[in-house]
Amino acid sequence: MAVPLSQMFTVASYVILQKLKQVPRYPLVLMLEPIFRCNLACAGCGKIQYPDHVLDRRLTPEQCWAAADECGAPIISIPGGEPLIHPEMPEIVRGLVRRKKYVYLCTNALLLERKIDDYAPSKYLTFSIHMDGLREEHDLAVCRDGVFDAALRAIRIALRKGFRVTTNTTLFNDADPVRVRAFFDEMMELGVEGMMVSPGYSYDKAPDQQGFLTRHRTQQLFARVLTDRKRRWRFNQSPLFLEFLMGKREYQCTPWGNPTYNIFGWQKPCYLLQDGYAGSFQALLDETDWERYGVGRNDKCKDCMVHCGYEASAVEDTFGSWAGFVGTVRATLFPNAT
Amino acid sequence: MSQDAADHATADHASAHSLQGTVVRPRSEEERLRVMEWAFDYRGDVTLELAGSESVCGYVCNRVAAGAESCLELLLPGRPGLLKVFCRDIQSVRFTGEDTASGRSWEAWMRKKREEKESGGASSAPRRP
Repeated sequence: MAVPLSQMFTVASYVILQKLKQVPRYPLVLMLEPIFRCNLACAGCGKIQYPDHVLDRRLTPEQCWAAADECGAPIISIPGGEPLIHPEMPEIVRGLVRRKKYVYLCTNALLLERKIDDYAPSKYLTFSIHMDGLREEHDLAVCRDGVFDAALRAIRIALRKGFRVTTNTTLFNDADPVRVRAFFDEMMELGVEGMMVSPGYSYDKAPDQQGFLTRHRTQQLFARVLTDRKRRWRFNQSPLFLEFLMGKREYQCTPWGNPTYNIFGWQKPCYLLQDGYAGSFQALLDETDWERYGVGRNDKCKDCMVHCGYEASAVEDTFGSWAGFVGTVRATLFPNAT
Repeated sequence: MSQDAADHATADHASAHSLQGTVVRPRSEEERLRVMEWAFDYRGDVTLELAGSESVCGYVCNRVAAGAESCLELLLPGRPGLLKVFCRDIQSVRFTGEDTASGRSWEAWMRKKREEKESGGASSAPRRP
């Protein structure tokens, strides 16, 4: 099972509670960006292009905890930048774990071997290792040779020390489905708990502007990657989201599902677009004109099928209707059924 | 567009080229709002020349469109917190800092990979354009 039962229960009970309270827009995963500085400059990343004095800024532990409390999401993803660069990251994580938040610490793993003893294994803490494919594809995507091997080493160490470890993979338009499937095999052999996979978002600030997928090509690619799925592959994400990527389901984006907090404030409207900042989570909900975003509403959203917008839509589908719930059970037990 | 040129950049120009080095002096409210967007979108520091010959240089991290109260929020090097500047006070916007989203690092990486391939190096050929 890719996600522990306790985490499933926490998320399910949280979503059901929001539904019972008839909360129209609720967060599922807080995207907490305490630092933008990174030790890599990946081709498809539009997150780190800032002047040095901005890259030198970071959120304090208190700011991180306040954002978690204010937002209330049961899961917190800490991307970046490279979070392990943040000198207070162990303290930030400890505070979030104390709050019983399920923390996904997203890292390229270059510093993990050196810093891993600053962290304690917990069911609430997962190292989510950035892996964009096999050695050739990954090192090309992150624009540095040797990163894949360093990440493999770190994964083995983290697993040996008893940490939860997942991988997160972004696929671009040059992805070879056969090699992606081989990559899934290799990750499962390593013993990771599960894998997360998503198409890249066409950041207009990313260095490589030609590698992004259109919506139709995304569906074609994921259909080829995920059809006739091997039983041993475990994905740490909604099975309905995977069906969405394969073109089997249509969803509208749920941008408030993964709200983003960073050194600038609460980002409008989502993790990927930067349309301004709000001073509080409530202000983000109240001030954002949500109808301006999503497929068919905003040109910047037309090709986006990224998990931070659509995984929450899939979860909403699961708990929003019996058909969605049954579909989730079916997709979990029989992923290769049509 | 040179830094010396007091220019009125078009939307097409802004989307097609880096604004680094450009100076824009908005002549109308419409231009002022457009330039405000560019300054917000720019991934480098800008220098704002304000009424009374004052100027500030920093990173524009937010813009608030609120009619006469519209403002930019800046992070200034070496100073905590945000500086709020009302748009009505802005005389010119100079895109003075390096455009960190210019894509040069990517071009350098791809050049390296091409050279490795041409010299029969160990690394694989780049497959993305």
